[in-house]
Amino acid sequence: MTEQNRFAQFKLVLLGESAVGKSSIVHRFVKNTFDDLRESTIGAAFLTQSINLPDLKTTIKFEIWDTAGQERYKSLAPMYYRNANAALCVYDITSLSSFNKAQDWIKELKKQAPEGIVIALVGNKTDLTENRQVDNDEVLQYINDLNNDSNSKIIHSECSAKLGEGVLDIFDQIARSLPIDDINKKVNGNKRISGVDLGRNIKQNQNLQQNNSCC
Amino acid sequence: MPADNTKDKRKSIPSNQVELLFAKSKVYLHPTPRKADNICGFLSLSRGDTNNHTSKDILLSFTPVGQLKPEDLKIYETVDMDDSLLVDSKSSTTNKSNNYLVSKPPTSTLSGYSFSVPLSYIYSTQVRKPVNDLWNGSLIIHTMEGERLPIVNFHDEESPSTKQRQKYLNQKMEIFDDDGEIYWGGKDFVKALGNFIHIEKSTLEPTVYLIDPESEDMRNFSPFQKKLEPPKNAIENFKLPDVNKIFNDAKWKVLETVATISAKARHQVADIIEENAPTPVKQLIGRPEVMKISNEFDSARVYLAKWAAQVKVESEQAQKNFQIDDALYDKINKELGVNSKNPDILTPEEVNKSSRRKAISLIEWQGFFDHSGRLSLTVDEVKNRIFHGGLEDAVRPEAYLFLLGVYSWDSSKEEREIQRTSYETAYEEYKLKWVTDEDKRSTDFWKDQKHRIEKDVNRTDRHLPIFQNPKPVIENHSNSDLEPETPDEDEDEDFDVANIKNPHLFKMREILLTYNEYNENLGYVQGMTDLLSPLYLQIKDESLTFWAFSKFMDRMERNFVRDQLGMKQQMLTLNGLVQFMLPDLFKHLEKCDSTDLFFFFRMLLVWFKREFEWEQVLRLWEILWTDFYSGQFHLFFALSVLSDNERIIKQNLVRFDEVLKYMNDLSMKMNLDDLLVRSELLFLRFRRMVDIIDRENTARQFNQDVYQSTNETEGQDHQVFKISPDLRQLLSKKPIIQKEGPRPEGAGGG
Repeated sequence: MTEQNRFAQFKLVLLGESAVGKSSIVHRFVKNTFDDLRESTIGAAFLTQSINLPDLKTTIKFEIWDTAGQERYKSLAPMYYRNANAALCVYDITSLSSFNKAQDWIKELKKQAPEGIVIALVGNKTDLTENRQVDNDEVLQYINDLNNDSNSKIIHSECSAKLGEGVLDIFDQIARSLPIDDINKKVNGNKRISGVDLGRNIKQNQNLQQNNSCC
Repeated sequence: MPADNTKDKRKSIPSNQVELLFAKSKVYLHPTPRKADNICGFLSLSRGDTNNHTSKDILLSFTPVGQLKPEDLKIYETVDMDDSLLVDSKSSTTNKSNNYLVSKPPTSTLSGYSFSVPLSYIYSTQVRKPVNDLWNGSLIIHTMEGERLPIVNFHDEESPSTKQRQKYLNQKMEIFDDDGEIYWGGKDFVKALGNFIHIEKSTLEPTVYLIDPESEDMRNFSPFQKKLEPPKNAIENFKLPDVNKIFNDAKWKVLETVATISAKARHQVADIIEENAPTPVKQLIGRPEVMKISNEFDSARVYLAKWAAQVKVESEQAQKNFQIDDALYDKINKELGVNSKNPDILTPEEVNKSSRRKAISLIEWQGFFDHSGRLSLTVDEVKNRIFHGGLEDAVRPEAYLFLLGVYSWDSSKEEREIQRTSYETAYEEYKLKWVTDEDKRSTDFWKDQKHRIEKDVNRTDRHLPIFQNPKPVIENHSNSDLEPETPDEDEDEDFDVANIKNPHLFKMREILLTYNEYNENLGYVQGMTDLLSPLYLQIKDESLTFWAFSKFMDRMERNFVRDQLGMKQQMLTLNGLVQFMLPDLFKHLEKCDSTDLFFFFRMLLVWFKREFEWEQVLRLWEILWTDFYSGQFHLFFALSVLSDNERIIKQNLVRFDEVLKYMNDLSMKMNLDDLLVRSELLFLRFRRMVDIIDRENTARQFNQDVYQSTNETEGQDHQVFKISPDLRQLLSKKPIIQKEGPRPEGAGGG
């Protein structure tokens, strides 16, 4: 058994205000590309990417749902986080309102999302640090308060999708927080799949295993 | 093969002449959609100078009747009727010159409607027998270089030789030939061809004949259960049969293998798939080995689906070069008929009426109007024309203003000029509302809206050259103090242009801010920039674009209302339409948990703006704006997208997210013209079905009234199928208008 690499698949949803860089983070993670003028997302985009955790002998495949950020389309979000295993709440460090919006998302997830969902609060656009409006200490304080109130841990990180800094790290952290060992218990009874351990042998030679992805 | 002694008996043939060995009359090329453009000619086999020729030098030619000299035409007609030429020459002494000398067929002409190639140049020919009256028998010839010659169609009902032989065989009661097939014109060709050269029917795909094939070619067209023993490892790449082994070695190898079979063979695979016949690819996709990969990387199913779609596109594309619309309509119509329990397929007349035509040129457009600039055709005629052909770019700026209702169709040029002035004034008034009202501009709501507009405008269609930022002026060292001459609005905070440096984007921002004022309840919502930019780039004038946009928004408002009811309603209607029109697919979507049709969200919200290239978006929109058949024709267009992918979805996709991903990824990969054809036929079919059901229901109602006292009819009453009001509404040419209510206190915009 120790020789076998585990293979698990999780659903991840991106939430956050319009234009904070949700799609840019996903494209950096999945395709390692960046487009300054990326068009707004309408509805949702769906991409996949796998990540290898050599020390845990585990390959995690993320099914990523990248949603539209504007308020008007908020009512669609439950469709995506309904069966999600992880959520990335993204804000723009140069916009305080986007940070507030990210907090709203976390509140909503705590109330509505499946129990045990892994939540990450991510501040994007660290390349624009001269325009920073969201103080990192303030965020840490917020996270601390939240984590003290409940037993779940919220991951926090900052990144720059533009420079490609910190993006992979976020997904690595999320992957390590996912209940890899428990998934066998909840495989059944869910068509819109939410984590399946297929227990197959996967070659361990690639750290980032590129699958076909959309767009 | 000709023996030496036969050579001597032949007369020598002048170099500009050939000996006609076979000819079939009433063979057509279909170069354009219009039947009127069909090219009638002869398909012939001929040979030139008989000295040191081989059978591979025999020419296969298509020659239009119009290019034949009168004396040659006579000979072609004689040869067409000469049954003796079909007797196998290899086995008899008839292999001698037959005196049928004609001018050497032109290899190609400027018009491109003739061809003539030596048999050595031909790789294979696919022989497609006729299918009832709708579909002529045809021949697809593939050259050694992997090219495809124009498809030749046998119009059997016109060809004297075919008719004569049909009659003869009928009299003899020999309706079927040795292969158990019915005689048709193409059979004569295959027979004649076989008399001169070795042809081999592919064991994999019986419609394909390989011309003097080499062994490797044979393998490509052998079934998985190989008949020919492949010589060792040398041909590993072509060893389709051993799927298991290849899968174990490298999972995608098989797909690559099929995809990288020589260019020649790939075309054929595509043709065959397109024919809906059993194929290696289809078998492959259904194989358990592929299923296994699917479990491991479940997107494999999506991958395969896309791959299958790609092959389909390629083959359709290739098909199009010479054989399109009439046939395409027939084909789609038949395809749409196949799965339905309703036997009433549209008549060929109905199908013909809906051919796609050329786009309207400026000259044609101007011809629609009289000297006073008033339309001299009926609105319906113009819309019919636009619906079936679309508009050339030069026509769009003006035509869009009519289509969107900025100008009324019955206005004169003079009236429009007056209207235009009042439009300008009205626009300025709305614009001033926010420009001059400092209090308004300082509200959070307004600032939010402005921010939303700016950040979305800034990322709309930026790939278009016109929307790219102006290049910084390259300054000369000598006068580096010179400032570039750009409006310096950054100074004024109220006019903060948020890095919008492109003047066109800036105008779009002005228009959207003014619309935010004009339609206060709705304001700006994400997605609107996508609707505005095509209008702006066609019309350019700020105030006219504004009015065109606001008219367009009248019908699109339902997509953007706060509670999303307009979108939900459309998806529900579409759901009903899919159940009604594509019941098998609907059942499959039920299994995939996809009947909410959510994958249509983006397509419906911005009318497929993200699914097609720029030019095609304009084409689609101008067609949808006509409301020629239905005020909600976009739903039939959506239905056509599903219908076009029905087989692939049913065969490959089993989960909600797979369907969503597949549909999402269709973006920029769809063929607009095909879908337009398909959606029109779907609409006509829908209308016909509603008609039949209504008639049926009326009849039942009548029977019920007459035989009210008897019990027998009671059981049947429950079977009456009612068309839902939503579906019936689709027959109306009026778009559905749904306005946003007043903004609740404290609610944000966007």
